[in-house]
Amino acid sequence: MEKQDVLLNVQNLRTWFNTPEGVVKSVNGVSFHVDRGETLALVGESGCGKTVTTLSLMKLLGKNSVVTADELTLNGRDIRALSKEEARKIRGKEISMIFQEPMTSLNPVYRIQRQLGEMLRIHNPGISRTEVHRRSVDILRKVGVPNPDERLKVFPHQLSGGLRQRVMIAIALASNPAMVIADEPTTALDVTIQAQVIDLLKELQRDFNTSILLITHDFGVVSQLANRVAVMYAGKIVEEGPLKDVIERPLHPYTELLILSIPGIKVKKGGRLRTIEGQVPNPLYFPEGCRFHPRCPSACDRCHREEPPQITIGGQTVSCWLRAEEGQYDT
Amino acid sequence: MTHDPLIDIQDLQVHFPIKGGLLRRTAGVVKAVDHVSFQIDKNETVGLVGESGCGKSTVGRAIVRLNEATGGKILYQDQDILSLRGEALRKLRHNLQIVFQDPYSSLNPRYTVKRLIAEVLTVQKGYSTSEAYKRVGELLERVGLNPIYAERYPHEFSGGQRQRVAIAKALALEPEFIVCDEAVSALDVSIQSQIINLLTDLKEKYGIAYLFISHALNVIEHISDRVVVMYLGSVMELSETEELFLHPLHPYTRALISAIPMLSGREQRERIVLKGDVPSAANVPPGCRFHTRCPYACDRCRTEQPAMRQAAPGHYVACHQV
Repeated sequence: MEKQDVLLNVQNLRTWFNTPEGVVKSVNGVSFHVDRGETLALVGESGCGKTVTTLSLMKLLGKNSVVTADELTLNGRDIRALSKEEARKIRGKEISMIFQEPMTSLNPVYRIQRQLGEMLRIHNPGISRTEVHRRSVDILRKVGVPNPDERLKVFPHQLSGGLRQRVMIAIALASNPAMVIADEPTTALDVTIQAQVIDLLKELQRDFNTSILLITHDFGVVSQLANRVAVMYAGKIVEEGPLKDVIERPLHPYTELLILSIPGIKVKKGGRLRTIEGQVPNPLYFPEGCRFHPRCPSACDRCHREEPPQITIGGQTVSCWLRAEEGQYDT
Repeated sequence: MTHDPLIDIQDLQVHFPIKGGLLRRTAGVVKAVDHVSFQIDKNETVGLVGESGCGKSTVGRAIVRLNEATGGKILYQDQDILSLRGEALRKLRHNLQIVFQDPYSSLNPRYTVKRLIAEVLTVQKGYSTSEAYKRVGELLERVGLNPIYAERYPHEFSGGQRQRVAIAKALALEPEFIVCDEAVSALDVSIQSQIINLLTDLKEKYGIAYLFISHALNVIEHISDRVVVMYLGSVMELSETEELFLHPLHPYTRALISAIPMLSGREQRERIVLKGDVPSAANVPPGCRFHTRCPYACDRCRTEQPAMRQAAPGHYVACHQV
């Protein structure tokens, strides 16, 4: 791995929240990197800390949060120390975000024109009105919105779900960011529209060499878009590796169960789907030892007591005692 | 089809008026369900699939009489459900139940689970409160919940548990038939699989039939015996599940199936990406309603509506091109 290819580097990220009930350690020691032009998928169930991780990177968390990291660089620049003003400039220009629900993330009382134009004006001070219009039409056309001239004049509720998501993507891409964080970009969409959006993201990545950090719980979407996969559970990354390896040879029991619980993937029709008993633990009371042990079908004594180390096996890394004999411990 | 169906939907239409203007005159009609016919057998799971806005939920709701139908018939036990009134309608709900997508909004947040479920029994079966409470624990056990949870409120449960409560409530009257309206769509995959397994178990144990409404084709493929594909208020294709997924005939079905994201490693089908969105149901295109998005549309498709016909035994399709 050449150093200059790394766009985003996150080492030992911790995001804690001070709440009346105590300190909630939503993200606890997460490390990953995203290369230029690459898609890394962050996969896991609701409540495992995926979204908090991305909001930490975007510096979009509230005052009760404490974000620390050994390293947090975007394009070689340390983003830990940025002031509010500096962070605002980076957001949108270098790193931008596509949210799950375009209806709630677009402002319902402004026309598309104004919301898209705002992005262009903020990042290009002194830009003329006609130029804003020209570029807006251009971007909408690029993301496949038919009749962009007319669509600029409508309100978000007048658009269908697929078009709204395209507008979101247009706004995210307006200033040509090096990195896009896509938080469940297709979860709220129908399969046919989902296929359109996946194709669009792929195309845009090819054309602009954008890096994508994809947040999802759907391994189907992951397999269409990602180069690498990081599986997150209870505030930690439990497995990471190239897409093909992780899907064909999942090392962590959690990854394997996530894949086997999807109907129509590896289980025959009508057969019993694998389930993961119980639910993601409350971050106030994470279990001792391996955090997955209360739900793990193969947990042993050691899993109850000691936290597993990170182990490298081929191109994959995994944190699980079951694999302790097979690979090399990372220090 | 010579056998005796449990539910026989014949030429069902559900239209909603669009009111407009100063006098709230009817300015148009949304044909949410437009001449839909199909049957559901005893102990059978029929999957109903289609994009948002195709009318699939409206069909489900019409069966349990939550939407009033404009025309057609739904036969159950030799009587037309749509003409039932008063006491007879109330009795009908002993046998036909519905589970909704979002258990957050379909369970009263101010009732404990015990009261939520007991209410069904006291109202519908005339149980005394103490009798009803006794049954609650048993029902919770059937859906895999600890009976001590009966004292809790809906917000104290996770999404999957809440859906189990909704299913327990639907089971309270021992129905023959349950409409599952996107019952697993709002859940995480790991929890989704728990609920799917539960529904399958209940079907085997109590001989329940389901109308399973979903836009998730992989779930439909897994759980259904037969599948009905709807588009813009009409049935496009109807077949046994395996036959449908192996030999989809309608271009819309083919596009839907090709759009399911597959894990790499499994053979990748050729993707057919449909352009554009579903047209408005207030303004259904003439001829075949799918022609505006169909890659194979010809002149005939634009003018003449294709009729449903049998292409193979048990496999029906409405398309000029097949």
